[in-house]
Amino acid sequence: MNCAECQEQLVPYIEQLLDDAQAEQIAEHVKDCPSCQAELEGLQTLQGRLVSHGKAAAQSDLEEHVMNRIIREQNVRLKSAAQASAGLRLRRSIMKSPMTKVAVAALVIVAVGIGISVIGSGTPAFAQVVRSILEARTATFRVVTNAPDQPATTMEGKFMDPGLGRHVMRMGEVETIMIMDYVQGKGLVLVPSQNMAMAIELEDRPNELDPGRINVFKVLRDRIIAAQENQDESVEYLGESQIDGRDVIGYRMTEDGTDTTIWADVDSLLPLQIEYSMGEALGQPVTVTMMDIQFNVPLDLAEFKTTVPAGYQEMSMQVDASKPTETDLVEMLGLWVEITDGQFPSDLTLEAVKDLGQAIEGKLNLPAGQKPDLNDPAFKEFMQTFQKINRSLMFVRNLPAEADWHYAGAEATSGDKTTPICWYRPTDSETYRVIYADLSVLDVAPEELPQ
Amino acid sequence: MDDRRLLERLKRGDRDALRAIYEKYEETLIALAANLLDDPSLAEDVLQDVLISLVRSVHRLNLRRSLKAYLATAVANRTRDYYRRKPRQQVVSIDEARHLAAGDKGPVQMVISSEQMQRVRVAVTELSYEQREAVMLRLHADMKFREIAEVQKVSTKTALSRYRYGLDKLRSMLNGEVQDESE
Repeated sequence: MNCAECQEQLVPYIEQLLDDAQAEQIAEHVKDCPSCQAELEGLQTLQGRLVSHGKAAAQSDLEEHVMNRIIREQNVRLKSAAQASAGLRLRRSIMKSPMTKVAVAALVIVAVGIGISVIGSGTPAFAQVVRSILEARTATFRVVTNAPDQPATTMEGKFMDPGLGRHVMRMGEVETIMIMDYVQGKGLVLVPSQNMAMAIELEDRPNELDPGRINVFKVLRDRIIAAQENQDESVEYLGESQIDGRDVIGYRMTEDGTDTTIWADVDSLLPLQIEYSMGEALGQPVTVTMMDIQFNVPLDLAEFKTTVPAGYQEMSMQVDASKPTETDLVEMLGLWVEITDGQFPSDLTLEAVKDLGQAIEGKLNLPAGQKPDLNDPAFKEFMQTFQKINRSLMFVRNLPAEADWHYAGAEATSGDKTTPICWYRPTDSETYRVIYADLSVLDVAPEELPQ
Repeated sequence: MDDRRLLERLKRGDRDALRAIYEKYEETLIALAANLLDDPSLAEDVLQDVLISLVRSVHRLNLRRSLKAYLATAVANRTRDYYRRKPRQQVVSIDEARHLAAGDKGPVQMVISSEQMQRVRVAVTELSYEQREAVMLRLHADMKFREIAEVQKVSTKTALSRYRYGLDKLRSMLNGEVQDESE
């Protein structure tokens, strides 16, 4: 055996993969060959070094600081690992469940009720539109939502002063009833076909309840009257027209990039139809039409009860009704990064939220589940995540144009403290708030902003 | 307690069993993950994922090999996901490694401040991922080449040669230091 042949076989030799005869040959050669012996020792030393350094690299003496923390967290997480797996499976079934869509819709409606203008399709229009007519004790109406590439959705609505709302929505075969009591700060979502109920509790509401927010038609009527009396610049008079054979007059109000067109009865001034377009502000144009509006029809108070009917599986949800803040946005970005393994939203729109849903599904390669257990902590956690997302979208949506909002997080790598994700200028501030990819937030002078 | 009994208990939802498994294999699996990843601070996350998926799949788990090999395989598979998903970090050359500032790499890498250790680490990152995986599965998880071959979906012979060429490459990169340090 020559040296080249020997060295060729050294690794299999060390690993004891050679048969006895071959091993014997190597051993013989190495014994008499200093060069191959050095080669063999070098290999063995390297292996030992890789093992010991490898372990050290993983453990090392930073235990005092970092590892202790990691292990602490690890232990906490481990405790819940068994639960987590059940929770993960649940999340998947939740994403496919009509209850999810319902719950999201409920959040939107809640947000509307507390006077925060909201993103998305459907109900948000309701917010502006239905700040209602002063003397209207009750109202019934139909809301039709149109968005590109999506089937129109219709919702039957009922309103009762003070601050009671009931909406019935159909998605396929599933009927969903959403009841809100803004005075009590309570809500109820029912899916009768599945016997599911979700009780909603509004937390941290502003102390003073604005009557204009409780009576959802009031603001709208005030605006009509004001516009009639002195031609407010923001309101455009559209003249007379006809809807369903009735004479109407129209006004168009433009505010924050949204158009609201109101067609009201010439004589009574009660709105008959309200068209609401959200323009391009939210990534895609959405129009909402509120029609067949009737005021002061007798309604049954029992229809607005927020207690869970007998026989329903119940879950409860706390909804943070305080004004969304930057903190909501930062927390949401943190959740997003966690769920998507380090990615940021492509944009802060409802479309991007759909991506998130897919990320959750994609991550959990599990068989589709059955009906979710509404009281499972994982379900609640999931709902809280959605709530957080909703609130941050509201925060961004509510920023005035002067805030100069920018989002640049689409390609960012999480944890990078130098990559800005988004920035805006708070009212009356000379500096901008910049949120970075490590979720730190700094005040930055305008001239130092990212290009 | 042997692994079979631990798994039986885990199937019944015994959390102490999960903890026992964790404590038994933590060192090995963390070392494996840390050496397969460019960012060793992710090793904890990998182990966590692996344990969660163990809990999730324990009911249909039918071990053909040791639990250790099973978990090491799971770590390797999971790590490969991380590795593919993330753009590869810029790897510094051996010469640059001696100038590496310890401070700017995050807390876990900070402790790998000894120059020797850093050099080994840098050398490892210069291997192809397949070679690196073969080396680490053999040295940290004590896997047989037949098992490594299974993880990598190649023949035993290929797994062995990946290991061998990996070691050769490391030796040539670290040439001259090995003897110095071993004395």
